[in-house]
Amino acid sequence: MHVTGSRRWAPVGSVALILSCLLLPALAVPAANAADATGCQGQATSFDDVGIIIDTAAAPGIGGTQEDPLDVLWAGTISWSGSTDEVLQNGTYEVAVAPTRGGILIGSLVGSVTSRLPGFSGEVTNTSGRTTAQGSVSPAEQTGLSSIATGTYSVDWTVTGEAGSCTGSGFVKITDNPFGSAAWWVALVFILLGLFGIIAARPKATSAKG
Amino acid sequence: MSTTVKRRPIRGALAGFLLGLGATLMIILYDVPIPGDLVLVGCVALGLVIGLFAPARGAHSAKEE
Repeated sequence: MHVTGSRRWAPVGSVALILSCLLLPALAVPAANAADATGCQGQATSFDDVGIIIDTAAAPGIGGTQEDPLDVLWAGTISWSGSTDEVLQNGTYEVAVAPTRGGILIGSLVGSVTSRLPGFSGEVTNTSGRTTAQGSVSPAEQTGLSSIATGTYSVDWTVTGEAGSCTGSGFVKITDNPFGSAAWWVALVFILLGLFGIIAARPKATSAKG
Repeated sequence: MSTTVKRRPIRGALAGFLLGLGATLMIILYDVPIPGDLVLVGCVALGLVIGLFAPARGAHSAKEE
């Protein structure tokens, strides 16, 4: 019996592994921009599930950067307030949330998907002509789930109106334990399917009498 | 008796893509400073390489007469 090429994968895999180990630190995600806002300003404070302050951030201002993201808990609450330079009426708003560790492909994919979710985009009427707004967000209460995902995410927002616009960006870190979250289970299923798929994808030898 | 080897690079790449998606998701969740794109491409390449060059299954049972 003779099977050609069956042992050639070993040196290729070894070289790929060594290159990966050498290149990964050099290609790590670079430090990012500070929280910024144009045409508006705002601040946010995160609380844990019993109401103790976890972190604060302001845009433009201190906190909310990739180096120092706004730490939040899924079961906690985020109180925010903001103001715009102009009265923004009869326009639209859009918020895009993307993971900072996912790379360009996953990051842009998640960002484009989230900006289309209900509540992440819509119309701005503001018939009363206000330039200030405030509110609070509780992820667990709004989604009805104990935990969806963890990690650091960039948040980019745009509000446009007839008189002008407001754009800004910042970073939020969900500091819960990832184990057991919805995304953790999805990741585990993908990894297991991928591993079984790779094992099943090995070449198959068939014998034929000739 | 002759032995032919059927290789599955596409299946390997697709499985590698799934593995890469899962690994990238874990990287996001655990906030590991590794670029997800690199992991995804690496896993696809790994699946491709295994689909092409891994030791063939069933080869040991096919003996020459």
